[in-house]
Amino acid sequence: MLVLAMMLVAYAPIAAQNTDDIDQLVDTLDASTITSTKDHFENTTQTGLTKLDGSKFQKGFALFNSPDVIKTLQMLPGVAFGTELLSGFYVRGGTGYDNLFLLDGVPMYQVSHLGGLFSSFNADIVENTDFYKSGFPARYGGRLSSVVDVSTKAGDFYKYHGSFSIGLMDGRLQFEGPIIPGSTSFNVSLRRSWIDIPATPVLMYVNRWMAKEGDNQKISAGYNFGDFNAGITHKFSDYNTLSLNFYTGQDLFRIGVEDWEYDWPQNPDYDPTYKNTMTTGGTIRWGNLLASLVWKNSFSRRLYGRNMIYFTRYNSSIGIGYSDEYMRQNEVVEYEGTDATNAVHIGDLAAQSDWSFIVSDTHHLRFGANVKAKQYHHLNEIHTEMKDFIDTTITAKNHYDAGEMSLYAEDEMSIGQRTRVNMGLRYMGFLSKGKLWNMLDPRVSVKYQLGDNTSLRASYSVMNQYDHQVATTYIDLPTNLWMPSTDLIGPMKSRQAALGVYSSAVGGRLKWSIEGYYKSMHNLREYNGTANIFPPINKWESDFIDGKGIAYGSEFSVEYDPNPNTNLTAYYTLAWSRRYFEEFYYDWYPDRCDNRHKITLMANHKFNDHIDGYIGWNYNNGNWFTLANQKVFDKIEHYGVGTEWQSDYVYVDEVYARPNNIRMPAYHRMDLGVNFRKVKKNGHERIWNFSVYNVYCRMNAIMATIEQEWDNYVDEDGVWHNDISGYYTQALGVIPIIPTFSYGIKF
Amino acid sequence: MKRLYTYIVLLAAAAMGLSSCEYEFDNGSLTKETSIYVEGRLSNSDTNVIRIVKTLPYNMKVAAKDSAALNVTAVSSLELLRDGSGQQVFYADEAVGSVPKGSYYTVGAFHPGEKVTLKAGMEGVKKVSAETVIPQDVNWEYEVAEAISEADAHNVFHITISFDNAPDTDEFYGIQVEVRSNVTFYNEDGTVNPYYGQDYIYALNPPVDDSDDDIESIMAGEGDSHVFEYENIYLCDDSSLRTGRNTIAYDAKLWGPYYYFGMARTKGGDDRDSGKPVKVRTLQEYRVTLYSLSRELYRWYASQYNARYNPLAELGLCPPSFAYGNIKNGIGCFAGVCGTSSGWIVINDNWVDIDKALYY
Repeated sequence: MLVLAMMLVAYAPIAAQNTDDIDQLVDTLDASTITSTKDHFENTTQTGLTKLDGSKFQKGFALFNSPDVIKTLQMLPGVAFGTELLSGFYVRGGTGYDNLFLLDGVPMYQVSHLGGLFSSFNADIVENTDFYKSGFPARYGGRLSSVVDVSTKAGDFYKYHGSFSIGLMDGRLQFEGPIIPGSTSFNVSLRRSWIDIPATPVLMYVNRWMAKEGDNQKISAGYNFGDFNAGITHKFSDYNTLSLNFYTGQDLFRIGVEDWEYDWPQNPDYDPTYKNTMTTGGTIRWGNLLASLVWKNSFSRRLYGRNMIYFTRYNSSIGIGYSDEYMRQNEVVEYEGTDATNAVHIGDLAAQSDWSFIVSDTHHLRFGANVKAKQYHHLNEIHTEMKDFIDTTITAKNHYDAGEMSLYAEDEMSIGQRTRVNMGLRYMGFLSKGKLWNMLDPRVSVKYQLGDNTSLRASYSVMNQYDHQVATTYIDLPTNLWMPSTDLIGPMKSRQAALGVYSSAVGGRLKWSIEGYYKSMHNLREYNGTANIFPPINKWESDFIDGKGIAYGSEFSVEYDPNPNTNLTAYYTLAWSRRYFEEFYYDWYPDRCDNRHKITLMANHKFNDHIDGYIGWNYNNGNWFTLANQKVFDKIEHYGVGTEWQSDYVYVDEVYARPNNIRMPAYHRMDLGVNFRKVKKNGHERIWNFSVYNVYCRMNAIMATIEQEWDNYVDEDGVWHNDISGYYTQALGVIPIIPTFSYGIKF
Repeated sequence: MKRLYTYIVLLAAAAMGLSSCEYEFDNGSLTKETSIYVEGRLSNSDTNVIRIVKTLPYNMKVAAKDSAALNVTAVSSLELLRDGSGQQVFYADEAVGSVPKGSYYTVGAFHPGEKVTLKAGMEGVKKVSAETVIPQDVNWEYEVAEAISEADAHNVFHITISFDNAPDTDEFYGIQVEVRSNVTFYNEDGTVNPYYGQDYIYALNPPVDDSDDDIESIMAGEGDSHVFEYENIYLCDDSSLRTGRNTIAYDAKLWGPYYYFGMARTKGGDDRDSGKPVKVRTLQEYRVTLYSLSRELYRWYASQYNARYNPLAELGLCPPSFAYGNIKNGIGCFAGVCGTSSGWIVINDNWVDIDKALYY
C-alpha cells in the first residue's frame, strides 16, 4: 500500500531518458545536479564504498586463467583473506560468513568453488560490483560486515559476440546477442573446470602400477565444478525493462577405493573361491541455484521502481559408503555395509520491491519492502546392512520454516551547498521456531564538501544478521550448515562508525582517501566442539558458543593514472580485530585475522595495442595461531635405578596463556601477468595470458608449530639423560610459485 | 600414451615436492613468557589440594638435575577467602596422603554455595586471582538393574542413576563409574603368589541418557557426543536434560578377568622365583560417584577434552580450543565441585584356572 501510494503521488509525465540516466538516478542522485559522470568516488555519500566495473577484474591477476571477483576484493583495504588462496573474506574484523553477496540483487549463500580457490562469480559477465564496508544504505540488510552487490551485463541488443578461453584449470565460454534486435537480448556464460580430465589418466597409471606391484587395490577419484549464467532482457522502452536471470553452480567430488584379497594357498583350508572385497567411497555435491524475474521501470522523471521475485537456494549432499563382502563359491557368505548421508539445504522464495523517488531538489527518497519464505533443512542418515540381520537406519534431521519481512526507507538530503545526508531505517522481522525477532537498523551517512574535490564523510550503521553459518572449520566446506535465529539463538548484531576524507586531484586522475572505523559485533558464534567436519545438527545451538568482537583501524587508498595507459594503485590498512568468547578465555584476545598492517601495490600498464601487463605485491602481518608457549613441570622419573640402564626423564606439560597467542610470519607475495593480444583478420581478438602467482616463491605460512629439541647423553655416573635443550618455531608453507597461462578469443 | 602418463605422474610428483616446505621463524619474546599456573578442585571432601607453580618459559632448558628450578612453588603471597573470610592454607613439604609434595592444601570440606577466592603472587610474575562458587549437591539415587556374568565374554550390567535437575539455572554434571578388580594369584598349595596380584581401577563405557542415541555421535565418534569423558569422568551440561527428575542409564561392559591378568603381570613385583600360580581370583567391584560441577570446572574439562581431540585446531583450520582458564593473569583452573559416592560394591567373584586366564 505504501508503495502504491507513493506511485500515485509521484506519477508525472515521463520524458525520454536513456538507461544511463536511470542508473544515475538510482545510484548517486545529487538532486540539484544529475551528473552524467560514472565516477562515484566524489558523488557518493557513503563511506566504505568501492565500485568496480567488470574490466577491473579482467585487468588484474588471473590465477589459473580465472579472473576472480572475490580475490580482487581481497586486495582492497580492510579485507583479510584468512588462509592463502582460499576465498576467505573477513571484512573489518568480520567472521567470514557475515557478508551479503548479491548476484543481480539475489542473495547467494555459498560463493566459492574448490574450498575457496575460485569464486562463484564468473568475471566474464560481471558488469560492475558495489562493495560496501561501512555506511550501508538502508536498502541492504541481513549481514554484519559487508555487501558485495554484483550486477551482470545485459546481452547486446544489436549484434552477436562472445569470448572463449581455456587455461590450466578451467575453460570459459560467453556469448550474447539479440533475440529480437533492439528489444530483446540474451547473455549466457559457461565455465567448467577440467582438472578431472588429466586426473583420470593419472589414476589409471597409479592403479596399473599398484596392480603390477601386487597390490589388490583400485582407486578412482574426480573433481569438477561448473557455473552457468543466463539472462534474457526485454526492453519495452528505454526506461522499462523486464529481465529473467538464472544462475547455477555446482561442485562435484567423488572418490572410491576398492581393496580385495584372496585366500592364502598356504592355508590348510585353502578355498580358491574365497574373496574378501572392501569398498570405500563417497560423492560430494554442492552448489547454488538462483533465478529471478526483474521489472525495472521509470514511471516518471521522479519515480523509478524495481520489482522482482526470486528464488535462491544452496544445496549440498555428501554420501559416504563402506562395504565388506566375503564370497565363497560365488555366494555372499558375509556382508556388512554402511552408507552415510549428509544433506544441507537453505532456500529463499522472495518478492522485493525497491523504489526511488525524487521528492524535491533537496530530497531523494528510496524505499522498499522484501518478503521472504525461507527453508532450512539438514539431514544426517546412516544406513547399515548386515547379512542375516535386519537393516538399520539412524536419522537425524532438522527443518526450519521461517519468514522474513523487511521494510526500509532512506532519504538522501542536501543541506545547503556543502552537506549531503543519507538517513535511513531498516526494519526486519524474522519469524522462526515460533519466535519473532524484530530488528531495527538505523543508518546514517553524512558528506561535507570541503572543497571542489575533497569531501569529509561520516557514517553510522547498525546491522543485524539472523542467518548463522554453522561451521566447524575456517574452510568453506559443503558440510557447513546455515541455521536461522531461533528462540535460543538471537541474531548477530554489529554497530559501525566510520569517518573519512576522500579527494581527487590532477583532473580526477589522482584519487585518494583515508577512512577510520570502529565496529563492535555481538552474538558472534564459534564452534566449541572437537575435530569433526560435520557440524552437529541437533545440538548446534549448544555447541556453538556466544561471543563478541571489536575491530577498529584506518584504511588508506590512492589510485593514480599518470596517463591513459597506466594505472597505479596503493592500499594500506592499519587495523585491530579482537574477540571475546568467555568460554575460550576470560579476556579479549586477537582475532585470527588481526593483521595489523596490510599493503597492496598494483600497477597496470598497456604497452601498446598488443601487450598489457600487471604487477602486484601484497603484504600483511601473519595470522594469529594458538600454540603452547609455556611449560609446567610435571615430574621426574628415574628408571632402572641401580642398573646399567639407569635413566632420568623430566616430564613437562605444555600450556598457553591465551588463544591466538602467536603471530605467524608475515605474508607477502608478488604476482605478474601479461596479455598478448592480436586482432585477427576476421575481427576476432586472440589473447594469450601468462601469469605468475607468487613470483619469488615466498612459502607463506598456513600453520605453525613449536618444536622442542632434545639432548640425550650419559653423564659421568653412567646415567642416561633426556633433557629438553631448546626449541624452535616452525612454519609450514604449501603454496609455491604458480605459473599459469591461458588462451582466449573474443569474437 | 604411456609416455604421456609417465610425464603427468612425474609432473604431479614434482609439483607436490615443490609445494611444501617448513622453515623456522622468530617468534619474538613469546616463548620467554612465564606466569603462575593454578590447579585447584575445591570439593566437599575433607582435604583439598591446590597446586600453584610458576610456569617455565618455553625456551628454558629442562634437565632432571635442575629439579629445584623446574618446580618453583614458593609463593610470595597467598590468600584464600571463603565468603570473604580467610581460610588457612598449608604447604606440603613432603607428600601427605592424597596431597602431593610441593602442593598447597586446605583441611575441612567446602560447602555448597560458598564463594571461594584465591589470590597468589610469586616473584617475577604477575599476581593472579580466581574465584569460584561451590556448586549445590545433587539429590540422586542409583540402581543396578541387572548383572550377568559371562565367563568367556564380557560381564554386562546395567545401572541407572536418577537425579533432580534444578530449574532456571545451569547445572553441570559428572558421572564416574569405577571398577576395581582385586586380582589375586594362588599357588597350588593355596598360598598367594607374591609375584602377581594387584588392584586395578578401570572405568566403564560412557553412559547414554534416556533419549535416543543421535546420529552425530555415531558419525563423528564420541567427539560430538553430548556426554564426553575426561579423566574417567563422564561430563555433561543440562542443556539436554529436563527440569526435574532425570535418568541416565549405563549399559556397561566389563572386560573379563584375563584382562587383569595381563595387567597384573606387567605391573608385578620383582620376586620372579616365587613359583607359578595355578588359580587367579578376580574380585570385581564398582563405585559410582556423581559430581555437581561448577561452570568453571566443567569448562576446564571440556576445553581440555576439546584440545585433546582436536587436530583440526592444531592445523589452524578451526577455532582454538584448550584455552579456557579462570585464572586472571595466569593459567589454569580454580573451581568448585561437589561429589557423592556409592562406595565400593561387589559385582562378582571369579575364580579362573591360570591356564584359562592365559588362554583368554
